[in-house]
Amino acid sequence: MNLAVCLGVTALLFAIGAYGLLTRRNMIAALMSLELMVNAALINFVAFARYGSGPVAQDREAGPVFVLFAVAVTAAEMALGLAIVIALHRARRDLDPTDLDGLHG
Amino acid sequence: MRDLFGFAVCSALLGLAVLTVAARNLFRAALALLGVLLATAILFLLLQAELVALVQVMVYIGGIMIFVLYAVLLTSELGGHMPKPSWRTSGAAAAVSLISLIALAGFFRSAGASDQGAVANIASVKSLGLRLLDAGPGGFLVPFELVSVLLLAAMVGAIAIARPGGPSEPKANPEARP
Repeated sequence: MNLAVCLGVTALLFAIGAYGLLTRRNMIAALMSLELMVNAALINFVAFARYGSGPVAQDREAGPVFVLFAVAVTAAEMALGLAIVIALHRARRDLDPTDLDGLHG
Repeated sequence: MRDLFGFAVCSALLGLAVLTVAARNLFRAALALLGVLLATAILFLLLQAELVALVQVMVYIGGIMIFVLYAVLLTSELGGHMPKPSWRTSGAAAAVSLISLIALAGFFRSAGASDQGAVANIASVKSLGLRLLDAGPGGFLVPFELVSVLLLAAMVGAIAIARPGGPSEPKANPEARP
């Protein structure tokens, strides 16, 4: 394990998540792909805190602390996203995000 | 031995991620995402970030994934299959993800050159906790308190959006509402 391996894995994870976000026709599946992309970013925070040099090396706690805050914000985002999913399902029984053009005149 | 374990965790992570975006059954995709989050927690442990791994397991696996599984079970039938994306959609999405991969690789090539090997002074759980509650310069007390307000607001908002008779269900006669 070194920085290069971590960066390669997270770049691939981000690309996989981006592919899923664009192809999925179900809102829950799109949110799950979004989780993959967020996870890639979180792994990078910790990897740079562990292996990085330069300004990062001065502050070893900043990386993990950023991950803690990002996890809290993601939890809030997922709670609201899934609440919207449940409300949408109740209102129109259809979770395809490309059909959600009700505000489009 | 440790390196081998790390590579095994990384390949499991990527394989389960592919399964998450490719599985036709939504429940199976959710279970694959659960595996991805678990592998990420193990990766955090290998990177010696114990507190982050613990938070990952408690918040993601214990909280968010349970919520995702509930949403899947509430909104779709268990044996149902999602339609396959058209060739045009998947081609365009593959192009976008390839471009993002190349851009990230270009950026990481310069950042990865700063690798100085594992450092000795790793942030311990104690130092992280002290830093989170430090009100002085460089401390994180204010964002720490703001996050609790954010989570409360998200909880109230989620209940308001999802509850029956909420804003998602237009009443037949809006004036009749108190």
